[in-house]
Amino acid sequence: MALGSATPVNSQLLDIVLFSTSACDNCRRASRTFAQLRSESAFDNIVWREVDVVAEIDYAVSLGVLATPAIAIGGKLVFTGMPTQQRLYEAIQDHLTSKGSSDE
Amino acid sequence: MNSYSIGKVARQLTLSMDTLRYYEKIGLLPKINRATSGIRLYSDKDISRLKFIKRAQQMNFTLTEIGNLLQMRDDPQHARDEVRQLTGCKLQQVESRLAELNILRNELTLLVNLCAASRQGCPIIDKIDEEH
Repeated sequence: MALGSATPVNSQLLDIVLFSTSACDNCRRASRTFAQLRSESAFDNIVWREVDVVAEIDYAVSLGVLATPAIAIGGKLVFTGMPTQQRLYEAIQDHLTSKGSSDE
Repeated sequence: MNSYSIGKVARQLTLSMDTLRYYEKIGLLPKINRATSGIRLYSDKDISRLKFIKRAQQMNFTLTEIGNLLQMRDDPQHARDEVRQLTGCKLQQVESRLAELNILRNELTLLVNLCAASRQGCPIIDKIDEEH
């Protein structure tokens, strides 16, 4: 998946998107953390994407992104600002748990 | 009860005095009370009605439509069916406009926040420059 693409991913996969811009310091830090989380992730069926909020502004606004960095999980804005690794993992786990129960 | 001269109302609502007289002439406003000297004295209720007319005009409603909406505003429980339908239709238009404005507000908020977060200038302007 190309960087910055807003194309929805396969519905079987969990889409985790970091919205950032090149010009904000917090975004650069968030981008490094995001890349580290992606490389260390133990979750299966996850697509990690980093999206340039300026290039994909309609997509960002449709999810309610009002500042960067921001993270959407499964098509919903979950964090504005970069969460700790622990909080992000918990949010992913919560999403997988709720999705699993709703699929039953 | 408060009363206001036509000049004061015109300034307050940024409408011309001719427009105020015209609204009265075509029945959008009731017959305005007059002082013994003959000058018009607008009440708070008249001002409220004028504000409604102005808001409706900003939504591009016609004066005829606004007249019908004012009938509904004056007596909603006894409005004719066509006036009720018109009001429902106009409500949908207002809600649609609100949804569009909400998206625009969020987009502008994002842009302002992006510029505020950037030490190296405004990424939005940079982006526009890149595209031209």
